Amino acid sequence: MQVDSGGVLQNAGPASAPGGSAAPVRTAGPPGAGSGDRPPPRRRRRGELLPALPFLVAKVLLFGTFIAFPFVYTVYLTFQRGSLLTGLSFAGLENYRNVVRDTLFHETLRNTALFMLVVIPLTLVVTCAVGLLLSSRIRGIGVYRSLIYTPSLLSIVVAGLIWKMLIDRETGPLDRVTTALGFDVPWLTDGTTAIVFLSVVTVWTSIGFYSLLFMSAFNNVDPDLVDAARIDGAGGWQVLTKIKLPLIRPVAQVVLVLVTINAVQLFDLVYVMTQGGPGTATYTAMWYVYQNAFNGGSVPYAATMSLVLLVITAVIAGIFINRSRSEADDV
Amino acid sequence: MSSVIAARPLGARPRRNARRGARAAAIHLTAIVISFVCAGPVLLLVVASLHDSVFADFSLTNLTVANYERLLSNEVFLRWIVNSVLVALAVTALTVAVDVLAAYAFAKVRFAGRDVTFRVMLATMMLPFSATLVPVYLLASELGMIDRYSGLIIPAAAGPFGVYLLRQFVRGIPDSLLEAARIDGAGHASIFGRIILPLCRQPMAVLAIFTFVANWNTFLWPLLMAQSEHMMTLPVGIATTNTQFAQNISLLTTGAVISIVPMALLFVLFQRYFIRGVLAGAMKS
Repeated sequence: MQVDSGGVLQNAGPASAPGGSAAPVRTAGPPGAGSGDRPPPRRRRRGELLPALPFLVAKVLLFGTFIAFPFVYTVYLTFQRGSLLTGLSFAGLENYRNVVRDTLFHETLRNTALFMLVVIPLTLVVTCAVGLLLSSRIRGIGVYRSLIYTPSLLSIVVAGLIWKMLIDRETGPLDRVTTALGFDVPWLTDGTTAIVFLSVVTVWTSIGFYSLLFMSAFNNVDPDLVDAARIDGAGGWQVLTKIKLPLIRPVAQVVLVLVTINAVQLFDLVYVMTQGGPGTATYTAMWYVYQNAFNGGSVPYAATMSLVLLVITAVIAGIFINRSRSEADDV
Repeated sequence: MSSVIAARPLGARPRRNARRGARAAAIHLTAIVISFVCAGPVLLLVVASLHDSVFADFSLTNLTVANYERLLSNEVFLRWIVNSVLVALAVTALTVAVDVLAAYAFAKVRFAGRDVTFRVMLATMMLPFSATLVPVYLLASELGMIDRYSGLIIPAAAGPFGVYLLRQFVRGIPDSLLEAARIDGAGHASIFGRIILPLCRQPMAVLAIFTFVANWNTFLWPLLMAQSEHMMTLPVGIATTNTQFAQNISLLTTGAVISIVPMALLFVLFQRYFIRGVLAGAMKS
């Protein structure tokens, strides 16, 4: 995996160089090829584009139409005002100024941040622990694995329906239990509680998926390493913290980035469980974008918010990736 | 707990076995608790669906399949099932077909701009849907795709993930194999049809299951595309509050259970592909 992306990056220079510099490219080939497992120096045959086209055309059309072009258009929209019906006109940085001033947008960011603050650490700890559990070789582990994967088979809509039922004031079993224990939990009626509850449900829906990831990471740890450590006198806890956890760090990093991206986009659960309420307490950024774009707001403004959101996500994900990379370098 | 193993004196077998037994018991207990937390709520959903009442009822008495009979003979609900199956199948077929073709080109055909194009596609893999949502919707509306199957299906097959997944695999096919075929006079089409496709069956199955599951459960896009009741997929229908079912909780739960059944079947039949799909899905970063 990493070897491959490295290989692609190595070729970044030559590949994007102007056509005239074919000779230097070829001489630059061998040193680059030496470090990866790529085949020997590449011969560039331009004539191959024609035969490649029939294979490419469908994907390039789909990708260009529904991903590349829309993304560019999102950026374009952020500098416009009006709507498609009344016609767009250049608005300069107006949308960005509005985003900065919009207190409701700020609140959605705070809500999303609180959501992430619960979801990210909880998901990492829980799914890593469950993954470790599932990697142990005990009888019947396949049954446990299937049962634990169950929530990941559901659509978020169904998950939301289930948990709404469980906390129902009249008939919800979970509400009955907490009431019997003397807690009157304001599940979805108090803003902060609602967000925390949405976080917990989100973690529940993804336990299966991420646990399986961690499980296979733990299974891939070389048993010889563990045995060697055991012989050297390492205990179970030491084996876990000194050998297994450092080795699964790349997977943890992947999970971290995936959870972050999904957390920023929280929408489905808000739709089925709270519709943004109480008040605007569970307005997430994505929910607000949706309201603006499709429930009578400004489409350019919605595009601007989604772009700001993208930048924030990219920065957070970038920090996570860099942090764990530099930590890995230290080791 | 198991640090004892390291410090164990020689010949302490019985105690060690007892420890091991205790450890296994602890693992079982934890696994049972977690399994309960994960599967318990789903079980309650099934129980609630077996009651014919407006409110949720979790008792184990007076169970009936009346709701199932009612839903499975309801024209609108059947239409949702058909839509879900049709859309998920079509997106899957389109994705796999388009992606395996592109994967071959990106992995084995050398053409100018190949690496740049591929890198651009790869870079968008982490692009959140929100960043393109608004224009994709405008575009779909411009192309007259709203409330049509084309709108539900075609944009959903645009993502780069499958190309990435399959390209990884096709790259692993030795060039010597293709070279030999070429010497025998095979062109790209016959190399693709006779060598690449048969060898790609497994990763294509992984991609197919991954795509099917994702599209069976997806919500936001079909919510935007389906304007009329008869174009909704199951998740959209279940989540929409002004349908004929919305006021009856046990009917909703029944709908939810019916929507889970295909996923559960797929999981039971193709568990190993699920796990591989999960892995491949994660490796996309």
